[in-house]
Amino acid sequence: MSELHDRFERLARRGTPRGVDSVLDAARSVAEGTGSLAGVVDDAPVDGEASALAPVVEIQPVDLQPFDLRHAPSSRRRRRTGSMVAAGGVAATLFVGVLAIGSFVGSGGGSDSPEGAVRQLASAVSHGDPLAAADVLAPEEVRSLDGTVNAATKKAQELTLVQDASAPLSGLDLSVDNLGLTTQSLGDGYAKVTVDGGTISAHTDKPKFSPLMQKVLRDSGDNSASTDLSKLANDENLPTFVVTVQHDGHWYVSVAYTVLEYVREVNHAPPADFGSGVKATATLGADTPDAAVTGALQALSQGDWSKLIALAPPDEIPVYDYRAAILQLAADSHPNFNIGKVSTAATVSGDTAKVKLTASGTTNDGAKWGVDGSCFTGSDESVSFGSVTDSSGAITPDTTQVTSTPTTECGVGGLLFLAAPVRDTDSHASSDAITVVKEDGRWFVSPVGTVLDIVDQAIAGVTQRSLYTLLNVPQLLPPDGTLTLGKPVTLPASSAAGVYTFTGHAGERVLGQETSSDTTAVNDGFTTEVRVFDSNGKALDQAYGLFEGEALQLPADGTYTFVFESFTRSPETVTIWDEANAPEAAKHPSVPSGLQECTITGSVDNGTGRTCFTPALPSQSATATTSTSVPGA
Amino acid sequence: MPEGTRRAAPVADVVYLAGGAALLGSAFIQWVARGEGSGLRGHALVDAVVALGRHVPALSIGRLTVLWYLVPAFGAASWIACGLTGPRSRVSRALAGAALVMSVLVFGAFVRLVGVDRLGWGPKVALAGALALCAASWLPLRRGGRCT
Repeated sequence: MSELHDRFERLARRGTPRGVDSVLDAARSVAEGTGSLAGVVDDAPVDGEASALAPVVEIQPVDLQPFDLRHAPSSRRRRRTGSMVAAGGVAATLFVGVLAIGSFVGSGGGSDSPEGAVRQLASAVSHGDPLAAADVLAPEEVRSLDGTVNAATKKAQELTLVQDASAPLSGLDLSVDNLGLTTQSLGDGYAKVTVDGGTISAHTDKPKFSPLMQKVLRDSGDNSASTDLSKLANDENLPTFVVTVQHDGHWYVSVAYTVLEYVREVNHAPPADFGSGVKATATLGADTPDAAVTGALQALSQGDWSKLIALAPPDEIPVYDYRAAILQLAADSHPNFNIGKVSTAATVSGDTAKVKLTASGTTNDGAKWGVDGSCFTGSDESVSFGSVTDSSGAITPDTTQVTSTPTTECGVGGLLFLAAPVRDTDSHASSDAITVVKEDGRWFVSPVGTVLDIVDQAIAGVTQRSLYTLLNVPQLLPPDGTLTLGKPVTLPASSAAGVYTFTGHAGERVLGQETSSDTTAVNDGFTTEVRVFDSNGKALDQAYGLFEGEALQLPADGTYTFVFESFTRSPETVTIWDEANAPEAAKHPSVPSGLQECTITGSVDNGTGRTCFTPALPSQSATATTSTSVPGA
Repeated sequence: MPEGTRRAAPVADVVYLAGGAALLGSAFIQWVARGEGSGLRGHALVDAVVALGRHVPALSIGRLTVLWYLVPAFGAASWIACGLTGPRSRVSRALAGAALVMSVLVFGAFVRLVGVDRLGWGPKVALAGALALCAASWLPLRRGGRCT
């Protein structure tokens, strides 16, 4: 490129592009300002004058490269568009930056509107994403729910209950469609979102379940169901609604407010004073974690519901907002226990404390109770019936006897201490402490934190053996050993199953015999249940009488799986015999003393030569079993 | 300059911009198709998938989160570069290369963390966007042009 071309290029880039008139006007203005035009006549030169005035210049040929003027305007437009693109990029960068900072600094949960929160929850349900669902629930209500969800899904994968911990609901397709919502404000930061329309559909896809679940659901196929979301509470003549709350500018679905609002509306109780609990936090609660726990226990025993309400964290469980409704509903509730001794031991860590409660006392009936950590000791009441037999052999119940036995339950079982104690010796996982949280300098008993602690420990305590037993597929457990005729095996003292293999032959008749040192269980006739599976995993129907003197005839040669479920609290021994060589105790086991002996008047099962009878009993809730079978009758 | 090459210029501009848009947009679509994390983004998403128990060597939660946010950030930066210097400038090419490296890293990390079956459209779109940026940066066209 020539030097002249370069100079033209530089000249062309000088100043601001403008029209010819503009350039001439500017030149004239500059010339007038410097006096260069003095004496110049502002008339157009006549013919011949111009050449006389013009300097004589010798024109030289210049090698100029062609310039396509058609592109000049588009270049300017391109520059403007490029600037707009760059500006868009800057805006997008800022947006991403704000998102990132918000993600690191803020909670990142919730939604921008009450309806948005509900839709987000519906989306999480549709995607089978429990963590996303937890993300849109009021954070104070579900403090560590995500940890519990994570622990549960990991445990489920570890035990092959699900194929992938990250998709625990794989095989269950949930879908929320056509959601129609309306919002009604309940107060500043509180809104009721009513579901006017929409459906929730569920579909099971068996092949997507884990192999274990497919075996558990062996007899069922794929199922589908759909429900109109707007009619979920139709029985109570209420619309379906969800209460949402606002925290730090984000809206969340509140499970606690939703439940309490339903309870209030169903019972036509006074409306809630929304937000009053949070505002009054500094005046509620207790001075110390220990005072919160002991205060709650005393309030419970005295039926002082106002005090109990004041000891619940207002943002976690908003009973203070609903105090008018709760006090109205609880007016007729009077606890029936007294506190004899109570002591606490607190471990404080920041704004959370764990308080171990030890207390004891009596009920109004005189029965003793006690709490030690999460273990509750109460009375397991059993009812037994006496009877008389008339000359015709008919039996008539004539007496009842109630027996109270001290029973201790821990962990999840201990939580149910007000209900009948649960015989679940696998739920020994226990949290020793009650969770207490500090808000506005005051201490509150955290029901959610306490329950989740116990649930976490219960989840941690679940084993393959207990899970498979619970799912009724104990035969899938790896065998604990091999059964040999006449040789006893000792079962673990647990309700979980003991699994043994036995090599049998077609037509072989076997009997079982059990011995246990747990006299209570033996007397109740509640010791061991046996099931036998053939080599194809099919249960043999005749196995149930193995310990009752009824021999099991094996249908074919092969390896059988014997599953024993012991309900005793001490080790139990079982022995399998060939019927011909079985001792008398196996052929004719004694009737448990706790079961009622009776004169036979019932039907005779000619097939086994045995007779069974179940007396007509008065309609009562009883834990004792009174039916019996009498061998050899 | 051949006529065909000159026509490629606006195509490259569009491809470069689309690549940037894909990188940016990937942050707003699902990175996990179903199950845990499918409704989450950013820090919460990384927390959720890392909490599943698998891990990527040398990629902690913090590092992976930063990488995740760099994907849309590179998309946005590519628009700036394209607008100011054009898709074939040294800056645009550097950004395209970096975006590709970043996208491959994050894509690989998510494959490891959630598996191919549960991989959502997010990492796929991000990877496609980065590839588009690179393609546009190295397409044969005249030099020095600005976007559109």
